[in-house]
Amino acid sequence: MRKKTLSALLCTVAAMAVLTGCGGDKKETAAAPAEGNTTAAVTEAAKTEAETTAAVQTEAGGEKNLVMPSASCVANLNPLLEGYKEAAMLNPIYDPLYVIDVNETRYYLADSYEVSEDGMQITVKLKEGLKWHDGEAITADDMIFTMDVCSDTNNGAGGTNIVILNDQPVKYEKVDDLTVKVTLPMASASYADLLGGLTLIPEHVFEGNPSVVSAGEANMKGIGSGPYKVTEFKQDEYLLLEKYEDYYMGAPSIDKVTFRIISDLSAQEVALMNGEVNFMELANAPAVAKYEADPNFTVVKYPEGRVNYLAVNKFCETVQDPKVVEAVFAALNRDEIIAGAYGDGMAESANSIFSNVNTFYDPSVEGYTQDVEKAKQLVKETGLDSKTLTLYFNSERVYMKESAQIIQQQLKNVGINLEVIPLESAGFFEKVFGTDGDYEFYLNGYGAVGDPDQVVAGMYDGTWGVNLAVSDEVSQLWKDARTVYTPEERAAIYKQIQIQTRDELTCYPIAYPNYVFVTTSNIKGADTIKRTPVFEDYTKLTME
Amino acid sequence: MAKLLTPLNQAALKAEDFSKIERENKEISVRYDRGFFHHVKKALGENKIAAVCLVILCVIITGALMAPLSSVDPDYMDVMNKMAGPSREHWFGTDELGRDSFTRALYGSRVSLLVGFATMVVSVTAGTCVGAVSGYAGGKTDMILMRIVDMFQSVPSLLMIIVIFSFVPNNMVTLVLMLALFSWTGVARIVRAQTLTLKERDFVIAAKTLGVSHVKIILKHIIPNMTTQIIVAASLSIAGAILDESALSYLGYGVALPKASWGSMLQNAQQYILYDPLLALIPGMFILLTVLCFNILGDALQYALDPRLHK
Amino acid sequence: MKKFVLRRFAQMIFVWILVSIFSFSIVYFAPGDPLYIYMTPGATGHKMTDEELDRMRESLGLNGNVVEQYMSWAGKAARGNLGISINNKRPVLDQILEKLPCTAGLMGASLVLSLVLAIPLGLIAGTHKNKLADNIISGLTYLGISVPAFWLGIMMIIVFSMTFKLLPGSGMRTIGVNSAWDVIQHGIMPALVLSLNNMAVFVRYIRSNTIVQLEEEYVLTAVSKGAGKKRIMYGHVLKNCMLPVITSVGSRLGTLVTGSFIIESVFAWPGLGTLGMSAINNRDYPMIMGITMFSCTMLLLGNFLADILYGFADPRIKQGKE
Repeated sequence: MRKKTLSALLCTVAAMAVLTGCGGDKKETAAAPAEGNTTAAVTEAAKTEAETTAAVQTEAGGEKNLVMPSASCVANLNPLLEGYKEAAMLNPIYDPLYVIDVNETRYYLADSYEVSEDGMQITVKLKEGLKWHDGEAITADDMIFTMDVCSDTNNGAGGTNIVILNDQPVKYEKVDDLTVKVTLPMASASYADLLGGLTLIPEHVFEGNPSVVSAGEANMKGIGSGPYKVTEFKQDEYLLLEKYEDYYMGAPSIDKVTFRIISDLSAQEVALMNGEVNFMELANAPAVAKYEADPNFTVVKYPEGRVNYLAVNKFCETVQDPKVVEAVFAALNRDEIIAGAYGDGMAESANSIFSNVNTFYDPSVEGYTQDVEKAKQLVKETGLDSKTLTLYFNSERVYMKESAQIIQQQLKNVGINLEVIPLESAGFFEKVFGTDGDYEFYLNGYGAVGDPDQVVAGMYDGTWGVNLAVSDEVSQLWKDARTVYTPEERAAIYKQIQIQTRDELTCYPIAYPNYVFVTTSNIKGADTIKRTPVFEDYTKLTME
Repeated sequence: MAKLLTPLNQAALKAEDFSKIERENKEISVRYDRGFFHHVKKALGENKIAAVCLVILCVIITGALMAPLSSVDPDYMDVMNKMAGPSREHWFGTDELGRDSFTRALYGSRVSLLVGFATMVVSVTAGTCVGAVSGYAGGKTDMILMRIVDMFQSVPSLLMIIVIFSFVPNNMVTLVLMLALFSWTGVARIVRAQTLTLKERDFVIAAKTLGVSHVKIILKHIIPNMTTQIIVAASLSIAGAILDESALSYLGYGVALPKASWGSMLQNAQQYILYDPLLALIPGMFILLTVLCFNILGDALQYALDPRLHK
Repeated sequence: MKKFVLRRFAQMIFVWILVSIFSFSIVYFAPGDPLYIYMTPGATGHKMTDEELDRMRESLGLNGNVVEQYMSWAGKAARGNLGISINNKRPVLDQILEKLPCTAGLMGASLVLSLVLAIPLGLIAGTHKNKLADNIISGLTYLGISVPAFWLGIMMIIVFSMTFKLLPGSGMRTIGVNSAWDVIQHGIMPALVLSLNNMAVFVRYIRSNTIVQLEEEYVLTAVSKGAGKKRIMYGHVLKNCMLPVITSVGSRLGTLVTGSFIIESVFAWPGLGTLGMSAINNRDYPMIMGITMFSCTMLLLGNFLADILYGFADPRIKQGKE
C-alpha cells in the first residue's frame, strides 16, 4: 500500500509539474503544451529547483527589489491608453514634463515652461540629452507626436483634454529640437498645470503613426523616459522593471521595481505580512493602527486630494423641490459617516467642494450641519416619508458601500426610505455621468489637487457632472476665475464659489480621504513627495 | 389492468370507465404517498445522521422564521462599537459597521433560505415540465428541448449572470430567476430519463389508448410517479442554490443593501477578514451546515425511496 | 458507430450555435456601452462628440444591428478570429491562449489530485462498508460538496499562509523564481480546493462499484483460490471500477479550460477566470464573448469525446442501437 501511495504522490507531483508549463517561456509553452512524460517533467522540476536556489542566493547578495502590489493590471504599456488607477504601474517608466505642486514646480522632462502674458501661449523647453530607454534621443518631435496621438480621438488617449480645450483644438508647433510652442484657443489659467502632466511616448517606436490604438505590439514595448525600464510584462500577473542607468537625474538607488497583480486586498495584506511585497495601500483603520504599532513597517499618511461627496441628480423629479434636498442634507451627519465608514484618521470632514489641498481652499467656509428635527419637519412637509429615494454608489471604490449604508440609516432616522444600489465602476459612471432621471442621489469622489480650475471646475461646468445643478451665476464665477490672473482675485472668486455652491444645495461634500499606505520599514523616502498615485519620483526612494 | 391493454373502441368508452381508471390511479398515488412518508420515517430511524440533519435544518429554519421576534434591529449601526468581539449583548460580536452579527446571521438565513427554496421551486417546476414534455413527446421536440438543456449547461453561468445583472435590476426575484435559469437543466435531465421509462409502462399506454389528453397523462400519471426523484433533486437543488447565491453575493451581485444574506455577509467581511476572521467564519459555517444537511438529507431520501439501492 | 458519432457531432454544432446566439444577444443587450469611457471625460478628460464616437464604433466593429453584428462576429469566429479586445486592442484569442496553460495546469492538477485521493478513499470506504472508516470518508465527501469553495480558500489562506506561513497565499509563482517546485507550492491550495467536488463524486462511484464488485463471482473465486487481498483490490476490483470514473473524467475535460472564476480570483491565479473577471469589469464584450465561446467549445468537445468513449465501452451503442 505504501508503495502505491508513493507512486500516487509522484503522479500528483508530475501533474503539478504540468503547471510549470506556464512557468516557462511563453513561446515554449505554446510550442509544447505541457504533456511531457512523467519522469522528464520530474527531473526537469528538480533541475530548475536547483537553479532557483542559486538565483535566490544571488538575489540575497544585495540586489534591491521593491515589490508593489496592484489590484488591477494595465492592459498595455502605453501610458496614454491607460486609466488613472492602473497607470500608476507605469509611473516609474514614463516621466511627465513637469509637476506643479502647491509650493514648488518639479521639472522632469521639461527644463522650463513659459506662459505668455496674455495666457494664450505656453512654450515648453525639454532638457538636453534626454534619452529613451532604447537610447534614442527625446526631442520636440516626440512631444509633437504625443500631442498628435492625443488629438486622434479614436485613441481615447489620456491626454485628449490637453489638445482639445472646450471642443476647440489647441495648436502646437516645434520651435527647435527641444522647444514646443502651444497656442490655446482661449485663455486658461490652469492649462500649464494640465500640460505638465503629459507623458511623452517615443515617436520612433510607433513609426510616427499617431493611430496608436491599433499599434498592437508597439504598445507592449514600454520604451519610456523614466528611471526604470521594462524587463518583462505578464498581463494580470506581474510587471518587472529594472533601473535605467542612463537616467537623466541619476540612476535610482533601488535596482528593481516589481508590480505584482493581487486583486484581493486581504491577499495583498497576507503577502505584505509574509514579506512578499513591500508596499500596500490601506483603507481600514484597524490595519493602520496595527502597522503604526509595528516597528517593521512604516505608515505614511497624507491628504489624497479628493472630495468624496453625495450628489443630487438634477434630472430627477423628486429633487426639484429644494426642501427635499434640504431635508436630506439636514438628516446627514458627515462626522458619523467618517467615523463609521472611514474610521479614525482615514479622512477629514469636508466643508467645501474644494479639497483640503486645493489651492484657494477656504477652511472658514461652513459646511452643512445636521439638524434632525428640521429634517423631520421637512420630511413631513414634503411628504417624503411615503416615497423611496434611490442612491447609487460605486462598489469598486473604498468606503462607498459603508458610507451608503450609514446614509441609509441616517435618512431612516428622519423617516426617509432610501434604496442604495451598488454598481461596478463602468456601470456606475455611465449612470451618474448620464442624463437618467430615475434616481435622486449618488456617492462619488473627484480628484481635487492643486488648481481647482481642473477637475473641480469640470465637475460643475458640465464637462463631467452633467447632472449637477449649477446656476448661471456660479458658472459665470467659474469662467471669471479662469480668466483673472492675480491670485488674490482668484481666491476671492473661488471663495464665493465655495459658499454659493453650498447654498445651492447641489452636492454634499462628505470627506477628504487621506491617502494611507504602509511600506516595510527598510523603504525610506516614501513620504518625500505627497502626491497620488504613488510614486511620482522613484529616485527619491531608497531601500536598506 | 391487462384488460385495458386490449384495444378499445374509444367512442364506446363510458364515463364510468373513465372515472374508474382515474380512481384507480388516484389510489395508486395515495398508496404511493403513504409509502413515501413511511419510507422517510424508516430512513430517518435507520440513518441517525440524516435525522440529526433534519433537526439542525429545523432549528435553522425556526431561527429564520423567528428572527423578527428579536428586539435587535439587524441594520442598526453602532459605529462606535465596530468589529467588537463576542459579548453578552452581541453573541457573535459586531460587524464592520457595528451591527450585531448574530441578528444579521439570523436575518441572513431568511434571505439565503428563501432564495434557496424559491430557486428550487422555480428550477424544479421548469425542469419537470421540460423534462416530462421532452421525454414524453420524443422526436423533434425532445431533440430541440434537449439541445436547449445542453446549451444552458455549456454556458459559463457565472459570467452570463453577471453580464445579465448589468442590465437587469438586481433584486431577490431576479436573483432567484437567474439562479434557476442555469440550474433547471439538471432536473430536466433526471425527469426526462424517468419519463422515458414511465411512458412504456402499462398504465400510461392504457391512458393513451383511452384517449386521455397528453397534458393529463403527464400531470396525473407520469409526474406523480417520480415524486421520489423529484424530491431528491429538489433537496439537492436547494443546497446548490444556496451555494450559488453565496458565490454571487461574494462577487457583489447579491441581495439589496442593507439586507444581508450569508453570502453578502462574507463579502462584507472580505476586507476585514485578517482583523476579525469571525466575521467570515460565522456566515461560512452557516452555509456549510445548511448545505451539508440538505445534501445528506437528499441522499438519505434517495436511499430510502429507491428500491434498487436496498437489495 | 459511425452514424452515432456523426449524430453526436451534428448535435454539438447545433448546441454551439445556440450558445453563441444566446450569449451574443445577452452581451449585445447589456446596456453598458463599451465606449462609455469615451462618452464621459473620465479617462481622457475630453467628452467625445457623436461623430467621433461613431468613427470609433466602426473601427471596433460595433456598428450595425444585432443580426448584422452577430453574423459578422460568427463569420470571423468560425475562422478562429474572436475579435479584438476593447480593453487592450489585442486579439482575444491570443490572450485566451496565453492564459490557457495556467488554467489548464491548475484544473488538470486538481483533476489528478482528486483521482489520486479518491481511489484509495473509495476503495477503503467500499471494503469497510458502513463501518467507521466508511462513515468518516462519506462525511468527508459530503463536506467536499457542501463547502463554499471560495470561503474554504480564504480560510486556507488565513491558516496556511498567514498564521503558519507554510504556503504562499496568492499568485502562481514567486517572481524571478522560475521553478516547478515554486509553482507547485503556489498551486497546492487552489488545486486542493478545486479538487474537493470532483473527489467527492469519484469516491462515490468507486465506493458503490467496489461494493458491487466485491460480491461478484470472480472476486469470490479469486479469494477462494487464495489470491492476496491487494491483488484482488487493485488487480480486479479497481480495474472494474474505473470505467465509469474514466468516462466521468472525460466529461470533465471541458472544465479544464473553463476554470473557476471565483477560485482563481481568491488565489490571484492568473488564468482565464482572472481574464474573465477583468473583462467584466472593463465591459470588454469581445473578450466576454470570446471566453464564453471558448469555454463552451471546450466543454462541448469534452462531452463529445466522453460520449464517444462511452459509446465504445457500451456494446449496445457500438452495435448501432441507442
